[in-house]
Order: sequence, then C-alpha cells, then structure tokens
Amino acid sequence: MSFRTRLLLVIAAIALIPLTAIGLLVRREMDRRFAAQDERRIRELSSATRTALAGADTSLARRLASLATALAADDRFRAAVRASAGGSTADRAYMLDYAARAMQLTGLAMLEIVDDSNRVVSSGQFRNDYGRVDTLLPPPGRTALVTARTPTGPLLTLARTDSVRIADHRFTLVGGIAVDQAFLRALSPDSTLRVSLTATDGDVRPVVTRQANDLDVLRASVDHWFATTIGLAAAAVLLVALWLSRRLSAPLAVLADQTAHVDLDRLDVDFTTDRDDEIGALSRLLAAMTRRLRLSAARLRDAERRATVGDLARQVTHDIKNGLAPIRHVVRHLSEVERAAPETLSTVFAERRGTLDASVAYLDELARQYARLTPSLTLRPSDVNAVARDVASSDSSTVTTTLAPDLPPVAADPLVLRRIIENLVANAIDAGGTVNITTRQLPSRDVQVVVADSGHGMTAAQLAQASTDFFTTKTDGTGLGLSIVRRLVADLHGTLHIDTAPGAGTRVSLTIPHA
Amino acid sequence: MLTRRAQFIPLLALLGCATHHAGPRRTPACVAPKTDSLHIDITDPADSNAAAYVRPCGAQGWPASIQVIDPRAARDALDAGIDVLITSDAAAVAYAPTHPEYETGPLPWNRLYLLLLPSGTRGTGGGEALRTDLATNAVRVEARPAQSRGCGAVAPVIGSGLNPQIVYADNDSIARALAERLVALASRSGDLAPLRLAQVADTTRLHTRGIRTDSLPLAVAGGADLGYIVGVPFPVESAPCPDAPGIVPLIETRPTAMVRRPDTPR
Repeated sequence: MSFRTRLLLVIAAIALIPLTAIGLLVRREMDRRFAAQDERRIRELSSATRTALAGADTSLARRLASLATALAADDRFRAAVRASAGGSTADRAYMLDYAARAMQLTGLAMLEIVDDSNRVVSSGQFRNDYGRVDTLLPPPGRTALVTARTPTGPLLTLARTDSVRIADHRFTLVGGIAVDQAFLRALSPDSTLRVSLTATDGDVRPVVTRQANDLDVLRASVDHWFATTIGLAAAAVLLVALWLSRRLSAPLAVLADQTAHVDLDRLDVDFTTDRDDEIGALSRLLAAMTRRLRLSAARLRDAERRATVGDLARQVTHDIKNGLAPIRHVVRHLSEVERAAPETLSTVFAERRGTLDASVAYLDELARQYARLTPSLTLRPSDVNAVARDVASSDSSTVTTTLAPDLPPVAADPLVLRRIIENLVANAIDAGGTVNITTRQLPSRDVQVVVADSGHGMTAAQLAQASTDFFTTKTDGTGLGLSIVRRLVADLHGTLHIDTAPGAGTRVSLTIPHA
Repeated sequence: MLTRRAQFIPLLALLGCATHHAGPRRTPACVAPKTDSLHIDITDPADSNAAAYVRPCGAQGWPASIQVIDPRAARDALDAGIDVLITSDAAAVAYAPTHPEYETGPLPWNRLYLLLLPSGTRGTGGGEALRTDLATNAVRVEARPAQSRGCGAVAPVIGSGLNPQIVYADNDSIARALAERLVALASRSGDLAPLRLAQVADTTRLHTRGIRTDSLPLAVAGGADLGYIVGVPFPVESAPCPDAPGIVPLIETRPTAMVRRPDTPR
C-alpha cells in the first residue's frame, strides 16, 4: 500500500470515525428522549381520556335520566302506549318520531326506546327501524360500546341505558354519543397520538397509541439526513485527504525520482528548491549530500588515479616496450648489416624505414592518448565565453553560439575547460546536424554551458554506456571522449547532465562553479 | 313563483277520491282569496298540479300565483294568511286546526311510489302487509297501499344491482322514509319482509343513499344499485297492464289543502 493511500485512509478515518460515532450517539439519545417523551404523553393522554370518558358517561346518564323523566310525564306517549296497535295514526306517528325529537333536543347521536320485550318502538337515528328486537343493549348502569344501526350504515356509539315505567310497561332508553373521528380527535388534541376505545369485560377503556409513522418518519428523516451528512463529509474528507496526500507525497516522489538517478558517476542531479518546509530541508540535505558525494567521488577518483598510476606506468612501459621493440629490432638489424655488408646498408634501411615510421607513429599516438588521460589541473578565474568562441571558431559553419553577456568568471583551468568543450562539440558534430553552444548565469552565480546538437541522439542504454572508458559507436573513436569529459568536469567540481533521445538530438548541460 | 289563470276543477266533485282515511275530513269546497288574485303555497313541486283542484268561491277564472315554499315554512304561511296551502307536511296539517279561518281537507291521490329493482337484483317484492306498514307507519304523509301497479310510469331497470344500497332523491322525504323502512326490514323475516335479496349475503351492509334529483335518472339507467325509490304522478296506469318484473308499487300519497273559508273577512 502506497504512502499516499495510507495517508488518505488515515485522514479519512480520523475525520469519519468521530463523525459517525457522534451521529450514532445523537441518534440514540434522540430516540431515547423521544420514546420517553412519548411514554409520558401517552400516560397523560390516557389519564385525560379516562377523565373525559367519565365526564361523557356522567353527561350521558344525566341526559337519559332527564329523558326518562320527560317520557314518563308525556301523556301523549302514554296514550300511544295504552292504545298500542289500535291507536290512531297520529299517536303512532308521535311515538315513532319521539326518539328523533328527543335526540335532537339532547344532542345525542343515538336514542332508542325499546319496550319490555326489547322491541324498538322509537328510534332517533333510524326512525323506520321500529319493530326490531334489539339484542345488544348495554348492561344497566354501565357504559358500553354499541354499534347502532342507521339508514346509511352502522354507527359506533358510547351508550348506556335508563328505564322508565309507563302504563305497566317498562321502557328502556338507550342513548349514546357517536364515537367517530371528531369524538376521538376531541379526546386527543395531540395529532401524533391516537385514541381508540375498547370494551373489555363490559368496561370501556381508552387505548392510546402513538401514530407509529410519526416517530418512524422522524427516525427515517434523521437517518436520511445523517447519511447525507456522513456522505457529504466523507466526500469532502476524501477530497481533502486526496489533495493533502498528493500535496505531501508529490515532492517526495520527485525527490525519490531524482535520488534514483544518483550514483557515483552521476552526481550531477539538481536538488535545488525554493521550499522552506520539511521537503525543502530534505531537498537541501540531499543537495548537500550530493555535493559531499561529488567531492568524495573526486577524491576517490584521485585516489584511484594515484592507485592506478602504477598499473598505468606498467602499461605505458609495456606499450613503450611494444613500440620500441620493432625499433630495437631494426637498429640491431642495421648494425649487423653495417658489420657484415656495409654496402647494402642503405638498401636495408630503406626496406626497414617503414617499420621505424610505424613504430614512431604508434608511440606518438600513444603519447597523445595518455596525455588526455592525465591532464594537469590549475584552477583560476576563466572566461567561459572566450573558450566557447575559440572552440566555435574552429568550425563556424556548423557551430553557433548563444552567449550570455556579463558572465562571471568560473574557477577552472582554461586548458581543461577548452578540452571539455572541445570534446562535447566534437561529439556533437559527429552526431550530425547543427551544434549550438549556449552560456548563461544560474541564480547561484554558477555558469551553465549547454552544447546541443540536432543529431541522431542516443538510446538510454547508449547513454548509460557513454561514460565507460573505451566505449564508442564511432568506427574511428577511442571511446575515451565522454569519459574524459566527466572526469574533467568532476575535477572542476562541476556537474554534467545529458538529455538525449534517438532522433531528437542531444543536449549536454555543464555547470561550473563561479570563481 | 308560478302565475297563471287557473282552470279549476270543482272540489266537491272530488270528494269520492278521498276515501282512505276515515273521519270527518273532506275536500274544501272553495277558497275566499284575500285579494283579487289567488295565492297558493305548495311545499312540494310535485303537487303543483294539485292547485288545479282549488277554485275561488263565487268567481271564475281568477288569476292565481303558485309559490313553492320549504315545508318548515308551511305553518308560517298559515300564520301569514295565505289563501291556499297545499302540503303533505304532517306538522302543518296538525297545526291547521289552530286557525279556524282555514278549512282543511285532502286532495286526490296524486303520487305513486315505486321500488325499482334492476334485472340483476333477483329480488321479489313484498306483500300487502308491507305496503300497509309503509303507508301507515313509515311515511309522515297521508298515504295508502299502492293500488296501481305503476305500469307505463317507468321502464324496467337493466343492471347488475350489486351495490348494496337503495337510492332515492335526497329532496324527497317520502322516498327517503320508504328506503329507510325497506333497509330496516331487509334482515327480518315474516310477512313484513320486503324483499328476497339473493345477492345480499350480509343484509347489515344494506343501506340507503340519497342523491341529487337530477342524478337519479342517470343512476336508475345505470342499474348498479340494489334498488331505487321513485315517485311518479298518479294515476298513470292504462289497462291492460301486464306484470312488470322489477317494478314494485309501494304506496300512493296525496297532499292536504288548507283553504281560506268563504266566511272569512277579506
């Protein structure tokens, strides 16, 4: 798992876990409080409803008692009772309509007058239901839930009875108030609680229930907003975490990439940065380390050079011996000819002269190559532009210059500086295309020289081998050019950077410390 | 208010029509208008033709104005001294004797109430005991068991009759009372059982429903309800009249006229 991913997960966890925990705790606490509040409201409403029912029962009993008294005193009703079926139509109608009139006067929703055989003689809520035997009378003195018949359907009532004796007949008055939505709403002014009535063992009890949907809807709403908040917070946290992790890890990735290019022969990686944070400090630390490495590498190479002087001397001795051997043979031959046949000396000399010239040429070339490997070094203020102009003037048709004015002098040996630029220009010319030498001053006042060509460029593998001694892609090359350049640049405490690609030319950047 | 020059029918000639209720009641002879025109109040628009049976005393062709009033205002009309009040309202009829200047008497039977059963109802009508009960107890107007079969008044109803309700015009108190009585008796047995309703398994679900007068013909044409109570002008029958299945005659009604006596000072 990458550092960025871990950073992302850690930031997300730090932000989301507390948020989720707080949300869950708030929801649980809210749920607990709502439930407690509901319980309290239900208890209070249940008590109030019982009180209201007791009041309704008392009112109902009082109204029925008044009706019974009035009925007992009503002579026309009495006459209708006495006449029974043989009475006049008017008296019969009076009896049939009595309950309706009384019901209107008393504000009841149901009133039936039944005779001693439980036969309805007058019904207020269903005038033409007379003659029916009512088998569902409430028990005397108690209130009951009674479903009364009406022309338009059943009517649930809270009913009780009273009785009156008229002309040796006992009549029962069944009166009730409607248990409809209006009645139940009046019992429960709180719209979130629902009151219903139930009859248990003849007693009417209120049942208070919470409108289950209300709390559930509230819970669902809270859950919805909680999930939305968590989702938005998670998205925001992830974005911020992503941004932070990228912001933190990107410079590290750059540093890692730069550091990956550092090795003992490639200590010219630029760790320059303007950051003043930990990344900047790390960059400066790496730059300082690289500088120390460059110095150490130079000293190491110097030590190696010194250590290899013996080998080189033996090789030089060997090479010189190899070069001198033919000469020694020719001289010995000529001496023998002079002793034995002096008259043929000139002829033999002419024959052997080629051997002598070849040996001398070999030694001369050998001397030149060894001279390149071991230049003498004296650092002093040197003009880079002057050296660049001299080198460019040797082949002005191919080489152009773009030189910065007022360039500060660098600490270098002019001869070494010339050899470096000469080698770079020669390689660029050999690569084909045009060559340009550019100089400029860096912010650190060091001087940068760029030799760029538009030639065939190099592959990554070729670039990796280019610094190896005696590696060359040219048929007549020695394979020492770029290797010598790197060593010379290191001797000047400078850096060398090569950008190249096949077909895209090569750009060699040389940085030399100012004097 | 309707105003017309009335073509009166002598009321004495109609005495023979009012025979159902025994007693001293008879149709008033003539009316003595307070002014030179005859003012008639009626409580039921269906009784407007009954005004033709009222004539001014000693005059021919008086202009008459007919006004339909609310039945609850009938007694107020008597108190205000209206020339003629024609109503079926029992309260007004009972109140009329308190005004000795009015003579009260029944007018001819003029309405027949029918129960219409759609073809899908598969019900049968009740007997004479039911019609008597309806006429004497269920309605508050003067009524008698139907003697007409209602032939030609309405067409048989075609429909399923599945809705367990008996429908009536909501401004017709007589139709409402009949419907309520039929619903009340639906679950009972005996000679009052009005109907054999094969498709109503639970008779407690049967109920009444009043609809607007102008919606009733459409409902009857649909035939979706168990039954319909309709009132039609009477007499309507013309012989011969075959049995009409689904058309059950129930009661016949007539209004009562309260007319100003001739000897009342104008």
